[in-house]
Amino acid sequence: MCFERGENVLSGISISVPEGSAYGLLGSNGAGKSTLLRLMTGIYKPASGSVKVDGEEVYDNAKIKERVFLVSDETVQLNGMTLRQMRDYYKTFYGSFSDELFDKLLGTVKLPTNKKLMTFSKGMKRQAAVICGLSCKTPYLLLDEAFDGLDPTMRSIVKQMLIDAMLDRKLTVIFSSHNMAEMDEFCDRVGLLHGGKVVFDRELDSVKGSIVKLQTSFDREITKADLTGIDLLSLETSGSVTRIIARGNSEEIVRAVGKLSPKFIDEIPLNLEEIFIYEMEVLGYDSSCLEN
Amino acid sequence: MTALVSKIDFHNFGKYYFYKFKKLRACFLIQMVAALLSYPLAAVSYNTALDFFKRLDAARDAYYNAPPGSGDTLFVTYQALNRQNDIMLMLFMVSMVVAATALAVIVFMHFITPLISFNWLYKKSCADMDYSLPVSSDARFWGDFLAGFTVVVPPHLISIILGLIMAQSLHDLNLYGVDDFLEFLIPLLWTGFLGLIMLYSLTILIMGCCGKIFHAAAMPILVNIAVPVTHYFLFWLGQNFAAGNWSSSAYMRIESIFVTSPLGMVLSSLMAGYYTIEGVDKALQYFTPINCFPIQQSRYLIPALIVTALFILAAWLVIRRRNARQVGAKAFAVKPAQYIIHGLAALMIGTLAAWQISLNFDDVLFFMGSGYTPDIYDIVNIYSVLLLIAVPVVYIILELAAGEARRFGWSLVRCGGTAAAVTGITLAVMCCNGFGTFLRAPNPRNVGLVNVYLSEVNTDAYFNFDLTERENIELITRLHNSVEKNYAYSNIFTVADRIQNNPDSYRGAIRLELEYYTYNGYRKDCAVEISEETYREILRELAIPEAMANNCLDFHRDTKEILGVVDDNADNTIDGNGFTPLVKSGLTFEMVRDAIRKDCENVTFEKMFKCESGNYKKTVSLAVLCGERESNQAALPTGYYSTNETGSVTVYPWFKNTLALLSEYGIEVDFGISPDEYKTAFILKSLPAEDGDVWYYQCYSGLRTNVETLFGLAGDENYISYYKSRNFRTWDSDKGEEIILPDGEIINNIKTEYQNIQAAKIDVSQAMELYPLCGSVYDVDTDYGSDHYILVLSDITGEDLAASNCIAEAAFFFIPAEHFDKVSGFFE
Repeated sequence: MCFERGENVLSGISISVPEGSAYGLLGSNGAGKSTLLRLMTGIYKPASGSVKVDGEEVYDNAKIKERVFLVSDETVQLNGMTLRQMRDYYKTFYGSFSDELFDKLLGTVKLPTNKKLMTFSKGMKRQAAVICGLSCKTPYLLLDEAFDGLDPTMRSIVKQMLIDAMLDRKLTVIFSSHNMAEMDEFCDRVGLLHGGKVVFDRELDSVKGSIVKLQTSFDREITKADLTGIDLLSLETSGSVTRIIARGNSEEIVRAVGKLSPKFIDEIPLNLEEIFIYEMEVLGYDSSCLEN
Repeated sequence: MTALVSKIDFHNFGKYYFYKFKKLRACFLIQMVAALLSYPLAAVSYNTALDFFKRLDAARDAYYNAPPGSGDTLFVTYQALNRQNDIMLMLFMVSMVVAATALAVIVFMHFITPLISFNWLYKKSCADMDYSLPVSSDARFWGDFLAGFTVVVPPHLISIILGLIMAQSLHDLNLYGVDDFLEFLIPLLWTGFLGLIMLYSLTILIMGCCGKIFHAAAMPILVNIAVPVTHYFLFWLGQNFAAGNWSSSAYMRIESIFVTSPLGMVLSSLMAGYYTIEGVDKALQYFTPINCFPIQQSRYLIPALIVTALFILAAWLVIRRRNARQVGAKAFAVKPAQYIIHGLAALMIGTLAAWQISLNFDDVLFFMGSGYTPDIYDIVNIYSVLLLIAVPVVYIILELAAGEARRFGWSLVRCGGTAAAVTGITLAVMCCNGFGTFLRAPNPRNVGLVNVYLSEVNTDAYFNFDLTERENIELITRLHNSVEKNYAYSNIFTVADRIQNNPDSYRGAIRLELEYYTYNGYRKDCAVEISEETYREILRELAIPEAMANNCLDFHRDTKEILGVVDDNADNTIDGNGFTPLVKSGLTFEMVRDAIRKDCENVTFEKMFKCESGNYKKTVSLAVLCGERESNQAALPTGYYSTNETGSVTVYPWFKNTLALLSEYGIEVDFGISPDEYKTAFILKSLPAEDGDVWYYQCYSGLRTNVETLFGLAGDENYISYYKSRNFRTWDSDKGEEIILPDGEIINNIKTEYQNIQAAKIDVSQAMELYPLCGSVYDVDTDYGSDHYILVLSDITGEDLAASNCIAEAAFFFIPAEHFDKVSGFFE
């Protein structure tokens, strides 16, 4: 839990990240994702509670910090360095730094090593930071908007680097992103933050399976009152088509809708982005303000 | 404390330190270059210039002193060097400017280096990077601290050492009266060194309390200015408002600011140097100028070192607890620091502004047409009101700059609290005499000389002497501490102002002034008005040989030899002073001083003060030579450099040794009349008037040199002839013209003019019976200036008065109250 002048930025946070997994942190803007990552890295100190890595408090614990690496969303602090200097910098402090891995990863992305990072594009800076992070060979790698600015090819390369590391040495990756598609294909587990609280913290399949989207058609107009038996997230009617999104077991939801005698019911799989939007709508974080 | 320093961990300190030092290598390079261009360049430049000018002088002297016809080659050499004169001067000036600039860079780097190395305190991106590293908070702090320290301090040290090695020629430089200027400079250099270490430490402490870049850069500057200014001002305020404290200088030398701030170190040391050179003449013979600096005194050096260590410790404790979340969020990451720094700034700006206005409030009132002159208590009241206005204004501005004024209610509370605290602090300082500390005399162990000046404001009676013997200094400090202090001679207004504004306040006022000169050249003054009773008590205490002897001597401190007796009509002159030479040379000031001192060994109160009333002493003015021997003073008999100096020695008839010494060199002292020569005696009766005290002294002073008038007051007819022979006239207001008085009115006229004095002529034999009973005016135990009887003995008779143009000599003696009955009958 982290306080700022009596106002909670994060409150009641409790998540668990299995070793060797990829954990995705979702959340609205200002939900506290970056703050949580910084807490995990030991940059911030929790006002109450504890943040432990391998059973030990991480804040002001230099030994534990050697096991955690954060690739920050900001890279301005690295602008004055070249890649070579960055390597030397991280190598100084991370005893597990691997020159071999660094060279190998560098060979993949082909970044110049003797130019200052300020001459790099945003995506190139991200690549440089990820390479350094992976080369430190810490058991835990935290990425804050790490894919932001990467082109699709480079995104794919970076993802493969991460997957290789996860497979080779059971690297545990936690990353935050607004790119749901990437999270969808990469993460094993996701957590949703909103207003400083955890909305859910589950396996990705479980998240997808917990929300059902039905495309139906009725002879009459269907209202929310007709669907009181289910945990309705969204009800939209467009012409003759009615889309129902509800949380719960898909069979039970289909059965409940079926009782209303629809002309047809199609179950459409939801992607993570849609799940995010609908969950946020429930929490009052939606685009209805634009209509006003 | 245990909790604060628990879990000290220096994980990865070495790696972090070297990383940070590497990051600061540009600063290190700048610092090294500046170090070499500061003191070493100045030293080399001085040596080069000195060498050149010595060669130039030698060439010039060789040319001008060459035998005729042999100077051609020498002229060529001289001219060649002379042509380079301007260039050398220019190069010297340029190099000094470069050296001064380099020194400024060294100072600047002590400030800017921590800003760079501790940038994670105020820059969010750097905070994330540094805090995420596997480095403990203690390692981070000490790594940054020592990396920066390594960058700024060793180059400065190298600069000083190299400069001192290269500047050995400064040992021979005699400047501003200081023989060895390098010895004089050395403490200043080390003061600068220590001061910059304190600056570095204080800067880091203040930065550690700030969360944004503007405040991280600006607050150290503000604090470095506010601390010494506030310290100096409060001390000055307390000292000047302390009863009895008096300073003839607008700016006092205050050394305690050496302890609390880097700027204070430099300012106090410069002040010490300045005052030493500028005018501490009396004390120079009692201390070595190079010991005048605070850094050379453990009572300032040790506390300064402790304060520096405390700054470092406090910085460590503050910064190791800093949270990255605080970076960039608020101006001040440590809340108490905000209150302290804002309060300090408000104290500094508010007090100075309020003080300046209140000090000139009499001008404001005058401008408004009011004739009222504020006194010291009015000043305090005005100052307090202005302070309560000024401090909130300053505080609000600072709050706005810190972005803290949005919660207006709390801002007002903080503002009000600060204003109250500031007003309370300054009032406490002003009104409590520094809780007694400013009232006390300096420690006599530190005092080399004390000058005692006792004077009666409306008469010309005064005593002025220096005391240097330890037990006499202790006596004075005891008297100082026991005398009740008052505001009679407030520093806020001069004595002249107060007399002019309130002429009734100083009738018969007696003033005690003490000037202490300490071994480190510090001077402290005290001036109080004392009562008659205290005055007499002090006089009795001061009837000591050194006081008596020094009161009799009035010479320039550099007096070497006595040439003769001042006589403007004499043929012999020296720099405008006519004098009659001694019958033989070799009479020195030391010989006269030793003789008088010997004569004063058995001084008593009666001997020292009895005869103030009469010409029972004689002051002999002497032409003297001062200073050191000059090789080109061939025309002078003794070879000493001469100044326009005279000195004087006051002798009493019982100064056997002194009189014998003076006589040996041809100086015969004429004491005027002696008891054997008394021919006429009078008893004066001085009646009190409304302004009795003032009037008494005025007429007494007048009568002291006009004893002829006494013949008239006593009704002696010979006075009429005397009056006529002098062609005295009087003014007839009815006729509006001067008239010659008829015989019958001359006596009445003089009695009318001195209507409050009665005089009775008595036999000399009767007077001789009264004479042993008389004491000095200070021995009179009636109220000062009330009904007294005075015995006057004159060396002329009435017939002498009428017959000749002589001017009478007279001796005045005060008759103690217990003997009034013996003389009152003369007036019945």
